Amino acid sequence: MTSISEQLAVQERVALPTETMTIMMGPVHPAMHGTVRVVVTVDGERIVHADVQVGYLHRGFEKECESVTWGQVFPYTDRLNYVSPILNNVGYAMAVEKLLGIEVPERAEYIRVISGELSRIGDHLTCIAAIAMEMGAFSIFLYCVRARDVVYDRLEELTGARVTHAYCRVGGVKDDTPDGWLEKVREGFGEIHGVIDDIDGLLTKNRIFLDRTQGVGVVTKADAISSGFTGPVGRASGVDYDVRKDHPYGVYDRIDFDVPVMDAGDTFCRYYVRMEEVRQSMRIIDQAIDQIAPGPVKTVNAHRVVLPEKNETYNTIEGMIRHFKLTVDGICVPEGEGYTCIEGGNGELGFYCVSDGSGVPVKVRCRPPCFIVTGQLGNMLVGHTLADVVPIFGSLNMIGGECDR
Amino acid sequence: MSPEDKKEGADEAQPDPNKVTLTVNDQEVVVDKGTNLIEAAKSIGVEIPHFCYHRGLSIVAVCRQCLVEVKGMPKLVPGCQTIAGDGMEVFTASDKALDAQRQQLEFTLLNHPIDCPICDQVGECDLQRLYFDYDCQPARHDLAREPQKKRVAIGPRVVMDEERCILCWRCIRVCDEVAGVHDLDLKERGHSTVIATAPGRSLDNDYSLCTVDQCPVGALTEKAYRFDTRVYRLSTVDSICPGCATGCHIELHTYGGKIRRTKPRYCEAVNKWWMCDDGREIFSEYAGDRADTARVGSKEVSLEEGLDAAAKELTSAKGDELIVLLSARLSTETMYAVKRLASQLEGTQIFGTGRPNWEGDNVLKSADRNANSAGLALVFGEKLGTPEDLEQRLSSGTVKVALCLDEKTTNPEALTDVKTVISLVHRYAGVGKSSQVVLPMAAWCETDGTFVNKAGQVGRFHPAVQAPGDALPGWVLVDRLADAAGKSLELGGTAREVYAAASEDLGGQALPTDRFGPTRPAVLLRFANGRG
Repeated sequence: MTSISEQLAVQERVALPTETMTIMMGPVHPAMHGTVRVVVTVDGERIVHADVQVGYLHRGFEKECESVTWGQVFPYTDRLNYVSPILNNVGYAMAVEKLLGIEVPERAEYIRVISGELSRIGDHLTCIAAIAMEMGAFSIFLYCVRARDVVYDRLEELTGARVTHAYCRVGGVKDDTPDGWLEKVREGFGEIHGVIDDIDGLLTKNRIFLDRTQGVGVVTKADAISSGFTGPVGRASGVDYDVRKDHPYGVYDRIDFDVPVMDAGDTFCRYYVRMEEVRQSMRIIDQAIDQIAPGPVKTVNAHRVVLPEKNETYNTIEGMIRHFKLTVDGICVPEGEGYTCIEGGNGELGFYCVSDGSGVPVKVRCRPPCFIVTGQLGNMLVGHTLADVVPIFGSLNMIGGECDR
Repeated sequence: MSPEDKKEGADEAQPDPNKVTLTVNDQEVVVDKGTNLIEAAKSIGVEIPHFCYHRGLSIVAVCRQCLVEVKGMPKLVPGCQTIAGDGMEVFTASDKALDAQRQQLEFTLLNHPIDCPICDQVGECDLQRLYFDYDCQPARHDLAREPQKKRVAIGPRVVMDEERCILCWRCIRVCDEVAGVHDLDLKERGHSTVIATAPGRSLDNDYSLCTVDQCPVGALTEKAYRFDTRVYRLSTVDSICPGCATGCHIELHTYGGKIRRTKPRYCEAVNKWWMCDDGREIFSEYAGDRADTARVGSKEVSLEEGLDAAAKELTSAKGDELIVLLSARLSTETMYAVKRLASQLEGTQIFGTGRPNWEGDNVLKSADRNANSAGLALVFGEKLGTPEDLEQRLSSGTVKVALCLDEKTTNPEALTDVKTVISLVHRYAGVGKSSQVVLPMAAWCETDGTFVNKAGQVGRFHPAVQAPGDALPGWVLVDRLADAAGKSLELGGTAREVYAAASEDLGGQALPTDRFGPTRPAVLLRFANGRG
C-alpha cells in the first residue's frame, strides 16, 4: 500500500499520454437554451475547438411567408425572437409600409415605441436571468422573471396575449391602448427598477460573478465589426451602433436616451450593457408616455391596406367587401423590394421584402441579429474551460426561433 | 435600314383600311375596325371596368360602369358601345372617368345586401373586385336597403337571389344568344326591376348554368354547388368534357380531394365560353361507388394477382379466340395501348362500342355521347369492328376470352357464352359485375390524356383527383397486363410518351405532338387567371 503522496510523486515522473475528448453540449443540455448543439473538443478542461451547430429550430420562416398574405406573416414574426415579439412585428410592418409608401399615424408610432421597449425590457431581463441562473444564482432568475411578468402583464392587457402578440398591423397597430394602460405601464416601472437595482447590488460587484464573467469570451472591437455584431453584444465590444440613434425610425428622434457602450467585450460587459439598456428603455417609455397624444392608431384613408372597423364591416357592403378582399387576397403591395431595420432585442433586426404586386410576398428575408453573434460563438469559446461555455453562450442571448428561423 | 424597317415605313404610308389607330391614355394602339374601346384598351393592358359587357354577347350598355372620357365628346361614353375610331383620344383614368366609375359603383352597391359571408360568388365576384380596385371608399349613407326575394327557384338547376342582382342582363343575353331561348326578361320598373321568367315558365334550357357562369355577382347560383365550397379554396385543373363528341374545354374545380364543380374554359375553336348543363354533372358519376380493387370471380385480390389471373386467361386463348371490346369514351392513350397489345396477338378482333346516341342540338351537344369516337376511328381505322359485327361474332361461338375496357361496353347478357370475360372498369357494374377478372380503372378526371373530338381537335385533360384504391389509368393497366402476359408494349412511362408514340405511329397530322400541350398543375382558383 503506497500513500497518495507517493502515488502523485510517481505520476509526476511519468509523462502521461493525454488525448482530447469530444463533448456534446446540447441540443438538450439544460443550459443550452434555444436548442443548439456545441460540439466541444476539450484537452482536459480547456476547449481546443468548438463546433456550433444551429438549425434545430428551423421552421422555414422565410418559405412560410411565401404562402400567406402580407398580413398573415405577423404571427410568424412573433415566433422569431419570441422573447420580444413586438419588435419583430414592428420591423416587419415597417418593411411592408416602406414598400406601400404609407405613413403610420403618430399615436401608433408611440404605441409601437412603448410596446417595443417593453418587449426589449422583457428580452434583456430574460437574458440576465439566464446568465445568472446558469451560473448558480437562481434567485436572480426569480427576481428577473418577477419583473418580466410585469412587462408580460402590460403586454397582455395591450394585445390580449402574453407571448405571441401579433399586435402590429400594416399601417399601425391592432387596437388603441386600454383605458389607463399608459399610467399602469409607468407604475410597473417601480418593480422593474427595484429588481434591476437588486441585481446590480447582488451581481455587479460580486467577486464570484466577476471571476466567472470578466475576461471571459472576449470579442475585440475589430472582431465585432468584422463579424457584423450589433446590439448589446456589439456595444459591449465598443461598437457604438444603435439603429434607434444611427438611423432613427418611428419617433425615436424625439426621445432623449443614451446608448451604453463598453470596451472590454467580455461576458460581464454584455451583461452590464443589457442592465443599462433596461434602464434606458424605461426612460424612453417614460418620455413616450408624456408625448403621446390621442389620435388614430391605423393609417387613415388607406382603405386598400387597413381593415375596416367591425361596425363598418358588418353594416355596410363597402366595408364587407374591403374586409373580405383584404383578408382573402391580402394587401396588394406594389411591385418592388426594400429593406428596413430596427433595433431588436439582440441588435439590428432587418427585413428584406420583395413583392410582385400581389397579396402574397415573393420573399421575406430576415436579418437575424443573434444568428450573426452565434456564428462567432465557436471562436469565443476556444481557450476557455468547459464551464465557461454556459455564461458565454448565455450572454449572447441566442434565441433559436430567430437564429434558425 | 433593315428590310423590316422599310416594310414598316411602307405600312405607315399606306394605312391598312381595316385598322384604326387611336390613343388610350396617351398610348397609341392599332386595332381592327369595329373594335370597341374596352377591347382596344385591353390590347395594351388597360382595363376598363365593366359588368354588362361580355365579348361573346351582344352589347347593351346598361351597367354604365365602363364610362370613359373621349376628347371632343361632350359627355362620357360607355367603352363597350363606343367603337374605336381613327384618331380618337381615350382617357380611361382621367379624373372625370374615375369619378364616374366610382360613382357608378357606389350606385350599384346602394341596395346590395351584405351577403359576402354567405354568398357563393365571393372570390370570383366582379362587384367585389371592381369596387376594391376602382372605388374602395366607405359608404356615405346608412339608408335601409330595398328588400327583395332571396331565394327564387328560377329553374331546376339555378337559384336566384333578387337582392344581389345588379341588372346587367347578361343572363338574358346568354339565354337568347347561346341557348337560343328567350327564357329570362326584366320585370317591374325602377328599383323594383328584377330578372324573371314568364309566368309558368322556368329557366330550364340546356345552357341555363351558363347564366350562373356569366352572372358577375352571386344573383344566380348553381343549385348543385350552392354552399358547397368557398370559391377561393378551390383549385382548378384544365380538362375536357367527356360527355359527348364535342369535347368542350372545361375546368374541374377541386377541394379536399373531391371535384366540386365544372366550369367551361374558353376555347375559341370548340366551345367559346359555354358548355351544356349535362356536362357539368358528369364528374359526380365518378364520385362514389367506384371499383377500387381487382377481383377474381367475386373475390377481392391485389392488383398483381388480378393482373396475373387476367394474363393467364389471356394467354390461354389463341389470338383469334380473343376479342377486345373498347369503349369510345376512353382516352386516346388507352386506345393506342390496346392497339399495341392487339398487334402482338394474332387474329384478335377489336370492337368499338360506347354509349348510345342521344338527341344533340346545334349549339354544343353532339348526338354522339362518346368523347373519343374520332380517336377510336383514328387509332384503329378500318380494322375496327362495329357493334353489329360484335353481335355476329358472339353468335358464332368462337370467342373464348373477351377483354372489355369500360363497364358499359356491352350488355353483360351478350357475353354469357364467352368462357372468360376480363374487364377494366370504373365501377363494379354492367360487364364488371359478371366478369371473371375485374381490374379497376381510373376515370378521365383522375388521369392524364387526350380526347379527339368530332372535328378532329385533340384536347388534353389533366388529373384533378386521385384515383380510388388500386385503380390505374387504362393504358397503364393494358401495359401491365401485357407485361404479366410476357409481352412488352414499350409504351413509355407517361401519357405524354404514349401520345408521342401514337402520334408517330399514326402520322403526326392526326395527333399533332404539340396538341398534348404543357402539363398544368392544379392552381388555387384565387391565383388562376385573376378571377374576382
